[in-house]
Amino acid sequence: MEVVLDVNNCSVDIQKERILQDISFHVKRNEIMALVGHNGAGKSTLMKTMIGSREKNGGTLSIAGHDQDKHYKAYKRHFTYIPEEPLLFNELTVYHHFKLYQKSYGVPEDLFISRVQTYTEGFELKEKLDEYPEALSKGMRQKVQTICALLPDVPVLFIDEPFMGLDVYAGRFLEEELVRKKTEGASIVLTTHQLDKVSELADRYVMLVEGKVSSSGDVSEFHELERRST
Amino acid sequence: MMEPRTTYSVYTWLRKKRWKKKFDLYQQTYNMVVDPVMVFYSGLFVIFCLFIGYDWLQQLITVLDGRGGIIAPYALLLPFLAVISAAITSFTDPGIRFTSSELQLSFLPHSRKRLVTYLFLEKYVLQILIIIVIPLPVAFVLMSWESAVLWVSLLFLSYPLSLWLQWKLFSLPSTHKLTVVLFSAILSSLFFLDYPVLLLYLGLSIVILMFLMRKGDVDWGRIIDINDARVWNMWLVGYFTEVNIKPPKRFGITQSIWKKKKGRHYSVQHLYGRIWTGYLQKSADVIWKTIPTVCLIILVIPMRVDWMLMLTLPIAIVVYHEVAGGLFSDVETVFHSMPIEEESCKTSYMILAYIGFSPVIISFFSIQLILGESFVAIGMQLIAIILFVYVDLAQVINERMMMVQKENFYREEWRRVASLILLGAGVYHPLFLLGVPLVVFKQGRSIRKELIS
Repeated sequence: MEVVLDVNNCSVDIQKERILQDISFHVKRNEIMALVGHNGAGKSTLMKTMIGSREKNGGTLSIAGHDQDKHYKAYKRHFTYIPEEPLLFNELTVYHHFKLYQKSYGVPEDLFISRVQTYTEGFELKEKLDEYPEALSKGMRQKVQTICALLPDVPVLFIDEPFMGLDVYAGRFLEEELVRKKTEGASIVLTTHQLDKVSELADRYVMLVEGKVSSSGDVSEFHELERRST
Repeated sequence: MMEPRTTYSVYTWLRKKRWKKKFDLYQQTYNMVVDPVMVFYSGLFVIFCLFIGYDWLQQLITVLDGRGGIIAPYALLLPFLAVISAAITSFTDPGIRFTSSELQLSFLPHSRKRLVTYLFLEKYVLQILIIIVIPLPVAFVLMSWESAVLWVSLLFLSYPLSLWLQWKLFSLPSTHKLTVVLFSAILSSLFFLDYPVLLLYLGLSIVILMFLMRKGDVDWGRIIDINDARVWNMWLVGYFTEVNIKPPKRFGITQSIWKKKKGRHYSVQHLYGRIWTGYLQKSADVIWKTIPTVCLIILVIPMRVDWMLMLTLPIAIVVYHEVAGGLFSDVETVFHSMPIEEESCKTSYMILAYIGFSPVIISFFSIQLILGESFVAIGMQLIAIILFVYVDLAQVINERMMMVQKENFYREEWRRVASLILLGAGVYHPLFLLGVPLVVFKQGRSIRKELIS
C-alpha cells in the first residue's frame, strides 16, 4: 500500500527542552493510525507539528509526497484537522463554517450540499445552522468542527481526541464516518485515551513515551502489549 | 473538483461576515436602547453643531492662514517621532489586528504571512485615506505647498514603517523596545542641535533595519488575545447587553512585565496575592472609577476652596475603605469553596489595597504643595494618614471577613469617626494630628481584643 504520511526523525524543542525526539513512522492509504501514550507523552505536540502549528527542530514530514518545509501550501491542502478544543470563528454561523471549508478546499457544490445534509442530520445539527459559536454548547461546537474536517476529500485526517465531548449517538456516527472515509482511501491519524476505540478503529498504533516512540506496529500487537502490562 | 478559493478571497469573505455580525449586534443593541424621539432631537442637535462648526472653522482658517510656517521646519522630525511612538505602543499593542480568526484561517490552506500582509495593507490604506481627508487639507491651509507636500509625504512614509516596526517589536523583550525608544530619542534631540539630518536618518535606518530584519518567534498567543479583545469587545453592545463575545482582557505595560516574570512561587500568601490580583483585574471597572474619583475629590474641590480639604480628605479615605472592604466581601466567590488561611488571605489583599491607596497619598501631597503648605506640616499629615489607613483598613477587612463568616463582632465606630475628624482638623492645624496616634493605637489594641474574644 502506498505511504501517504511520512514522519521521519522529527524532533521538537520547547523552551530549549526536547519534547519530541527522532519520531519516525508512516501511515499508508486506507489506514487508521492511533497515537497512544500517557498525558505529557508528546501526542498533542506531535499532532501540532504535523499540522504545522508548531515548528520542528529537525526531521522531515510529508503528505502524499509534499514536504512540509518545501511545499507548505500543497502540504496544507492535503489534510484536515479536528483539534481537541474546537476552534471556531466568532464571525461565522455554523453554516458559514462549512462554506469556509468548501471555499478553502474546493469542495464541489453538489457534493457540499449532500454532505452538509448527511452530516448535519447525523450529528443532529440541522436546527443550528444559523447559530453563532457563542450560542452553541461545547459538544455542538465539537460537532461543527468535526463536520468541517469531514467535508473535503483530503488524503489525511488528523484527529485529536475525537470522541471527547460527543454524545453516544454522535460518537457512533463519527466512528462510522471514519471507517467510511478510510475505505474511500483516506488515512487517519488519531490520538485517544480510550483504548477500546483504538481496538475498534485503528489498524496500527504508535506508542509515545516521554517524547520517543516506544513501540509501534499492528493493533493486535497493541492488545498483546496491553494484556501483558495488566 | 472545484478549485480552492485564493487566500485573499477567503479573507475578504471572512471580513465581510465579521462586519455583518458586528453590524447586526449594533443594530440589535440600538433597537433595544435607542428611543426614536431621542434620535430625532440628537439629529437636530448635530445639524446645529455642524453650522456652528462651519462658522468656527471659517474664523479659524483666516486666523491660522500661513501660521503653519512655525512647524514647517520640523517635518523631518516625523520619522523619529513615528519610531518612538511605535516602540512605546509595542509594549501593549501589536498594531496589526491579527485575531484568532486569522490564526484559525492559517490552519487551513492559507498562508499566515499573507494574512498578516493583507491586514497590514488594509490598515495602511485606511491611514492613507485619513491623511488625505484630515492632515492634507490642514497642511495646505497652514503652510506653503512645498512644506505641506513634505509633511504629508513623510507621514505616508513613516506610518507603514512604524506599523511594521511595532509588529516586530511587540514579540521582542522590553529591553529591545526601550533601546529603540532611547536611541530614537537621542537622535531626535541631536536634530535640535543642528546635526546633519542625513546622518541622523542613517542612524535611524540602521536601528529600524536591525529590528525589521530580525527573525524571531512571533508571540501569536498574546497577539490574538489582545486583538480579539479589541475587535470583539464592542463597548456599546457589551455595556447594554452585558454579553461579551470574548472576555475583556486588559494588557498594560505592567501586566506584560508581570507575565514575563520567571520562577515559581508556592507560598500561600503569594498564591493568594495572585488570586486577588486576578479578581481585581476583573473588577477593574470599579477600581478605575474609585481611585480617580477619590483623587479628584482631594485635588479639585480644595483647588477652588482650600479649607474644603478638611472635609474631602476624610471623605476620600472613607470612600476608599468602603470600596476596598466591599471588594473583599467577595472573598467566598473569589476562593470558591476552598478552605482558606484567613491571615494570609487578608494580608495578601491588604498589601494590594495599600498599594491602591498610594495615588490618594500622592494627590494629597500634590494639593498641599499647590496650596503652599509647609513641608513639616505635610510630613506630619502624611504620617497621620498612613498610620490611620494602615490600622483602619485592616480593621475594615477584619470586619468584612467576620461578616462573611457570619461571626458576631463589635464595631467601635466612634473611634473611626474621631480619627477622621482629627485628620480633617490636622489639615487646619497639624497639632490636631497628635491625637490621631492616641486614637489609632487604642483602636489597634481593641482589634486584638476583639480577635481574642
